[in-house]
Amino acid sequence: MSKTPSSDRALCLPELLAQIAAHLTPPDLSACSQVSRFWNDNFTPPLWHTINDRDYNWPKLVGSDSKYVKETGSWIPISTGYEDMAREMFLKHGHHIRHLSASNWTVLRALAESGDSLQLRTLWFRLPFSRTTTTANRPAQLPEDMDEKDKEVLEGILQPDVMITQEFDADTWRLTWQLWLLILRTPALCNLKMSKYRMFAQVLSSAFLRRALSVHHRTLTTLQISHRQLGLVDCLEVLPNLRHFYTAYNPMKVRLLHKTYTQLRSLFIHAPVSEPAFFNLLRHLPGLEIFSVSKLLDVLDEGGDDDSDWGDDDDSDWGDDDSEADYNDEAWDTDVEVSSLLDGVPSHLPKLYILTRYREIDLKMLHIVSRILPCLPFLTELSIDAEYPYLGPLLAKQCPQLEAFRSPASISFIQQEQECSRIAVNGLNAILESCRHLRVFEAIASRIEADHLLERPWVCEDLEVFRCQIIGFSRLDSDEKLVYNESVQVLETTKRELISKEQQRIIDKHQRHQEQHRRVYKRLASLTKLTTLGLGHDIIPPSQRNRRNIKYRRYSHDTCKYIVEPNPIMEAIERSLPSGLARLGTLKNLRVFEFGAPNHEINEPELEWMAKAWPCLSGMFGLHYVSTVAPFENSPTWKLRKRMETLRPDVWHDRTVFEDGYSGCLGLFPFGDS
Amino acid sequence: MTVILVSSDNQDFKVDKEVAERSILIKNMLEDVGESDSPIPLPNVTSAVLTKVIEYCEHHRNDPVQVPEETDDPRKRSNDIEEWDMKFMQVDQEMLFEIILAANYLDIKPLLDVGCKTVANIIKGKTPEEIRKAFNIVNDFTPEEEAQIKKENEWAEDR
Repeated sequence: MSKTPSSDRALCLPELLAQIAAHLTPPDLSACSQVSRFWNDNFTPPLWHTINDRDYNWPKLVGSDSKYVKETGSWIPISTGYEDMAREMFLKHGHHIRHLSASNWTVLRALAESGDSLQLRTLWFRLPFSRTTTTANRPAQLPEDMDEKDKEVLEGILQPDVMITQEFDADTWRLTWQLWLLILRTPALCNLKMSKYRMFAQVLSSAFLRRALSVHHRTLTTLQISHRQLGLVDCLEVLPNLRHFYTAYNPMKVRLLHKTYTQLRSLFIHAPVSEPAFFNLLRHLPGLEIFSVSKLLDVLDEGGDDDSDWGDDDDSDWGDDDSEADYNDEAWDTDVEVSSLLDGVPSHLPKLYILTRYREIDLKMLHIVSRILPCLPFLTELSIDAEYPYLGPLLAKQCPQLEAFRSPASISFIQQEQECSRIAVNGLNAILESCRHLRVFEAIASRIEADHLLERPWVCEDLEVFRCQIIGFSRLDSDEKLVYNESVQVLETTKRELISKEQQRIIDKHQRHQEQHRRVYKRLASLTKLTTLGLGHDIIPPSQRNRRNIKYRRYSHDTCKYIVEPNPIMEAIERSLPSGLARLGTLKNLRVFEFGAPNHEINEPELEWMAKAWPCLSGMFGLHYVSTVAPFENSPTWKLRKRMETLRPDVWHDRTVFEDGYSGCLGLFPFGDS
Repeated sequence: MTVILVSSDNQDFKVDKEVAERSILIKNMLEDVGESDSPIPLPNVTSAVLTKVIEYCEHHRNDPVQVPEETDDPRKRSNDIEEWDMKFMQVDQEMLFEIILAANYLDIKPLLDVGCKTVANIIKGKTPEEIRKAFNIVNDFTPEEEAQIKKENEWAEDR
């Protein structure tokens, strides 16, 4: 047996180094690759395995490589000085990359020019904007001096008669064909996502795209593409292993489905979908596990001009002048009994997301939802970012299997009609009363009144996430508090007869307050599996009341005006120890506690109690920096934050402490190969 | 049913077949040989190391067979080591690598995994020089090579 130390023998085995590397992140992998030549050989491939140019030092290095010129309203390229380095690095190490997510021109160009040796499995690129150069408006064509073989591969790439417009300049065009060349020569590609690419994609011919996709027909499982002429049918026909499809166009605009495709698992349409089209898809995609649309349209609502309005990673910024009808090949008889489109067979769809953002909500959609839900008895997850009256009872009745309900929007129906708002306020409680499998209840913009809640027991004992405002507590205002304190003193020294009517009213009100809190805390304390508890939303301080877009309303009988969006109201649950917070000591699994509200009454004693009572606590939302409150430093919240940081340095204060419902839905993109 | 394992320094270890079969190497050997009482020689494993390995297999005798992780994205893998394993791995570095080598040779994936996680935890947060020192590795780069790699890796520094 050899006498060399075991570490020497072990650390010269490449398979062991690979296993060690699997447990390290890039900063440590980078250090390892600088240890010795042998280690460099073994740690460089894992270092380059997954690249995201928004991670680590990338943003600093490649930075913003374009500058917006206000006068001309255009973006012009600027040099970051990193272009040559990036190109050199991609030429050298590009063949190690398996998963790449890029949104920076320097990175994308370095990638596009890195040759044929790429073995990417994931390519996700976003073009944040197009750039304008003096060469704009030149007719689109491939360069004359291009390699003949490349020309052959790219043949027919353009829609006939396309001109490069100002928005689609020569740089962008060059990058586009380079990227497509790369895509065509990357045989193992599993995931291809092209975000913010809608406008650029339109110059490509659908025949070319079909051909390009068919090259990957065996491997491609995830596809995001938004092309007017490339429908879901095309993709499903060409790609037998397609599992996840994302588009910013309604794919039904091209063709309805006439046969069944079992391969698809998730479908994300960042566009409105008409009700018949929705049922057509449900019927022909029996393997679907997630179905996400931005809006459901009535059969008569054909003027679907509003394509998506999605956040960060989509095509929304591009405004779309597309005002065609939702589906133009098929005429729908408006008398069609919609549910009959499923032939009476209920769909097995487990997850439905209807994610309209920043839009006025119309009651029509509620009617559509009320027709759809009875066809989805196996629904376990619903995300809908609007609060409708009757939605709660409807869900409770139609979807008893529900495990997760998310209403992530800040738009609240409350703003619209007083009468409906009262129903909307408490409506969601019905879900908690009826769906015994519920694990996630995320509706932080919604409200349930304490008295309503207390009259109705909840059945969801396994609740892990509860985020909702509980309101309607009879809290004393500051004047009443003074009177109350006086009255208590009076009671201690003299006789009850000397108490005035007003004093008695306030004493009773306080008693009611205590009783309400005692019982609500008892209810919450029984949810021992809770990991996330959110009882209050972010606040907008009074100083900001003149800002645009902030709406006020009077709430119930109260005389005060409150900011509705997204501000909680003054009758919110009090979170002080005297009000009964300590009852929540049963929540031993609690990881995130959220309490933003103007009158949460959380002070040092409460923080000290939380620090001790919740051993698993890792995140808090309520002592975070609020950009609208200035200055944060030395404010009472800031002081409390400092105290909490001393008590529990391991607790994080930031929005990232929880996945909000919205990002929760969007974070489904499978980055691996599965 | 028991089997007898013989370490490189000729010590016999009598263990339950079920425990020995946590090692895929031994499992395959037993399957090939069929019913047999003959001892299994393990010429690459000393008695000190084999004692540790058997201790691990005894403790994990009822664990379900590990499912290989789906993802190949290193950032998605968990680095958690359960408490017993953590204590088990509190040995000097020489023994740590002996265990890793033995786990590799005997093909005991979960043990190998815990060993590699432990090594990864030693590496975490260290500079290249500190890593060299920790594992007694000689720097064989030229200064130019070192500078070049440092430059190429700039992106991977923590923000």
